[in-house]
Amino acid sequence: MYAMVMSPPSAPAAPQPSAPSTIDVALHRSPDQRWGFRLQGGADYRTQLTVMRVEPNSPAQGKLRVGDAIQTVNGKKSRQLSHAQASEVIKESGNSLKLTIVREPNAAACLDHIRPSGKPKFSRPGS
Amino acid sequence: MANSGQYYNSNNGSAYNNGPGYYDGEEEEEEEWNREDFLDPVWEIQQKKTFTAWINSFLRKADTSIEDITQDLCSGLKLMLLLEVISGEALPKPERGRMRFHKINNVNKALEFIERKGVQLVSIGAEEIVDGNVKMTLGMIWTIILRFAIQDITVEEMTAKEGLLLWCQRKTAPYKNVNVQNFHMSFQDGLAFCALIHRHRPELIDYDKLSKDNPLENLNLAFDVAEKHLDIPRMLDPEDMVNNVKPDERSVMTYVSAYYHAFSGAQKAETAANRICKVLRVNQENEKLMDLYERLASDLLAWIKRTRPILEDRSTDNTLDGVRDRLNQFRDYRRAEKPPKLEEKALLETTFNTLQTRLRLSNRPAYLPTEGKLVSDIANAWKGLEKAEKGFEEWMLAEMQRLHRLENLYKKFVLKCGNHEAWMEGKEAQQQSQDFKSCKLNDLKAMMNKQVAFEADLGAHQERVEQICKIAEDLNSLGYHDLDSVNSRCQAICGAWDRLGVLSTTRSRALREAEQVLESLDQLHLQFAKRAAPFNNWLDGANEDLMDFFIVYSVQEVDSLQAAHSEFRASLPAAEAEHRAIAQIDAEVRELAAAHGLSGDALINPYTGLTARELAIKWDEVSARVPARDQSLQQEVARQHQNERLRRQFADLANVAGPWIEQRLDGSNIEEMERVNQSIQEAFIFDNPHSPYTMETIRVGWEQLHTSIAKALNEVANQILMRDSKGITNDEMTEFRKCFNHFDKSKTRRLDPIEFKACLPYVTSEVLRRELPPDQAEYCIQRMSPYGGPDAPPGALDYTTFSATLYGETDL
Repeated sequence: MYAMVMSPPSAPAAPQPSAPSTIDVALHRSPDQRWGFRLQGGADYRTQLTVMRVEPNSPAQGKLRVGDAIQTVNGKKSRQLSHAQASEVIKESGNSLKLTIVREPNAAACLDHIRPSGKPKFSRPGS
Repeated sequence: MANSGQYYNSNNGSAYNNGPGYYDGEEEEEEEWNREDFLDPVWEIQQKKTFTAWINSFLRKADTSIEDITQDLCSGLKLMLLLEVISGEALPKPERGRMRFHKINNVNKALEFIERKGVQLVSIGAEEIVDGNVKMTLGMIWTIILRFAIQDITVEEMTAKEGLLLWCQRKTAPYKNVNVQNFHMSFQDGLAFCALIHRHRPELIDYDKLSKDNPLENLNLAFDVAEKHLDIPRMLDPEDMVNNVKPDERSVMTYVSAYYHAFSGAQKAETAANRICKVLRVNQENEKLMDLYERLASDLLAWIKRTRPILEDRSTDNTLDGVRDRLNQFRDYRRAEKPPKLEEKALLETTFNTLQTRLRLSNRPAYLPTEGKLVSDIANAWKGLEKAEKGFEEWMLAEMQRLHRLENLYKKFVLKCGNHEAWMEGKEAQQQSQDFKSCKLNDLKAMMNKQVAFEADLGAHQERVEQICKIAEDLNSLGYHDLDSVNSRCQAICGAWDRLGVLSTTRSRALREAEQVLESLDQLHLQFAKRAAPFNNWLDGANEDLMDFFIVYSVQEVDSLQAAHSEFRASLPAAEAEHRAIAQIDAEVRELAAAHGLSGDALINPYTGLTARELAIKWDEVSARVPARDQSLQQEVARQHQNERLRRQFADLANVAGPWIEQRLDGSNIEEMERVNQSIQEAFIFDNPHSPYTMETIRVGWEQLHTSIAKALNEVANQILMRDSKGITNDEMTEFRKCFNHFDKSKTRRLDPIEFKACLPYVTSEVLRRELPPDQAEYCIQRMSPYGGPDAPPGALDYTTFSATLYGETDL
């Protein structure tokens, strides 16, 4: 998962830890619109219900970010929801959707700083 | 399309001109073609076949087809349809008219679409297509094929034609008898096609059986298999391939591109299947890791849950051994039980991290452990465990210290109790002793001093007892394991201590009381002594006097005795009073003693050996003797009176007789005189003031008359002397009494046998020498003659003769 990088990826230092924040998000859409985010995880997958993709020009844009961990969906605790159930609730949520999410303030999950770029370079031993 | 120019120029001979090229905007073609020169060149024929087949392979999706490529595309409708099917996009609506301009419009729409797709069409006009110009049409179709079937091929950074060629080379690389260098000759023997098929679907062609000597068979085989199993319609004619010197490049490319799309699509499908497999595998592995995590977490949490209460268990049997056992258990736990759990925890952590990393890398959401098994839960539980461990160790050490201290404290307790109990030994009995009830005052005072000292000692020991109690208290509050014995011992000590205190107070008080009593007694004793002594003396004197042998010769004497006796009697009441008083004192003593339970030495009078009883006895004696003396005195009085009468009688007679005798020697009165004299003598009368004549003188007178009478008289005189101091004078009597007293050593007025012998008419020289000073003794012995009487011991000396000699008398 590539979280949004807040600092330029050239900084090789490890991301500084700071407390994740719990945010209440309210989304609104028009009747024929999709919410515009990809949901992944669920109780049946034993993984955290997470936003994996945000489509531009969608109700989700600007409010949700990739990597946001969804805690409640319209008040229901996400921990108890299977993926299908969560999807259902979101889909059937009419024109407004209330979520509480936890967002890592830094790219704690971002691996870009350790991901190599370019071709592998080999150096001769001793050089 | 870098090499396209080169590619086209490699075509051998101008006979094999490909159709009109097109500008893809990158390179100009250097090709010459003459429309008019050749009719239906081979390439044209091939291309027609191939292109038609190719077009149909798409149109069949729209349930239509063409037969003649020059005819059937003229209207532009099928052309537009083809483009739609290939691109998947909608073209503008075709005009449905049949007029030429309709057709031209439609074709133009198609051409515009192609152009919109980034293809620059050169020299292709809609009119020629509508008119069915073969070359134009074929050129246009090629353009379409190139753009939609070949252009987007990318293999290892090569694109389009080169990419396709590279693809063929890569795929046929393992086949030694295939060498793809171009899209004409290399494919002529058909092995390349077969290899391509075999490479992807080995079960469809038994490649090893093939040889390039059978090009027709090879080609047919490939085409059949491709048609049947790969849904690639035949596009090339094996005859054409084999017979032509050089197969048409474009046709071959077209057909090979179909293979490419089929296989790489399948490959894509295959890769997709692989990817799905991979994903599934990854999922499976992730699930396994999740299961592992859950299991490890459960086990670890359960173990912690079991173990923590043990570590938090603060129960103790209060003994050092018990504590040591628990410490050993703890050590075993740390050494053997915990390390594997640490490993488990580490495994848990790595599993979690691995899992999360894998999920993150595969762009999945984070793993969420079940409630209660979160990393934080595990960490908290572990922290709790370690806290419990630490608490346990601390508690353990504190317990050991406490128990050590307790043991030491207990030892101290035992020591102090032992010492105290030893000191206490016998003290209770001592204090209970009633010794002071039967002791003398001095002893009592000594006891009191001892008691004072004892009380001081007690006071000093109070602190000791308090210390013992304090230690017992500490042992209790610290929870020593054997409090029963401690408390009972302490209680015993305290109880005994309290008792001792009470006893001591009681004794002190009793001693003081006793002291007072004894002092009172002492006073009484003193009083008693002061009075008893003189009284005793008086009693002795009285008894003496009362027992006094009196020898009186005259009434006068007896009267004086009686007078004395009367006086004495007068003093009796006073004496009695005194006696009573003294007895009273004694009674008081006894009462006082009895009242206070004193006895024994307390009653002993330290001031005198006299006892009231003694005095009482003496008093009784005195009392008894008084009437006796009364009587004897009376008797004596009577006797003296009698004697007096006798004397007078005698005198009367003597006074008559004497002178008579002097006148004549008539002894008629002598006998009477003798009789009277006898009486006198018998009455102990030794002198007679009434007559100067004693019997002696009378006798002497008579002696002168009668010697025989004289003898008889002498005999009588002897008898008198013999009988209770016979006829010696008062002085002699006194002398005699003196001697008598002298020998009455014990002053009891009675002579014991030895002493009595000294009163006998004889005395032995032995006695004299013993009793008298030596010179006196010798003097006596010299002058005394041996006693000749009966039963006298040898050496007995006649005393009576001696006395006679002493007094100038001689009994002859």
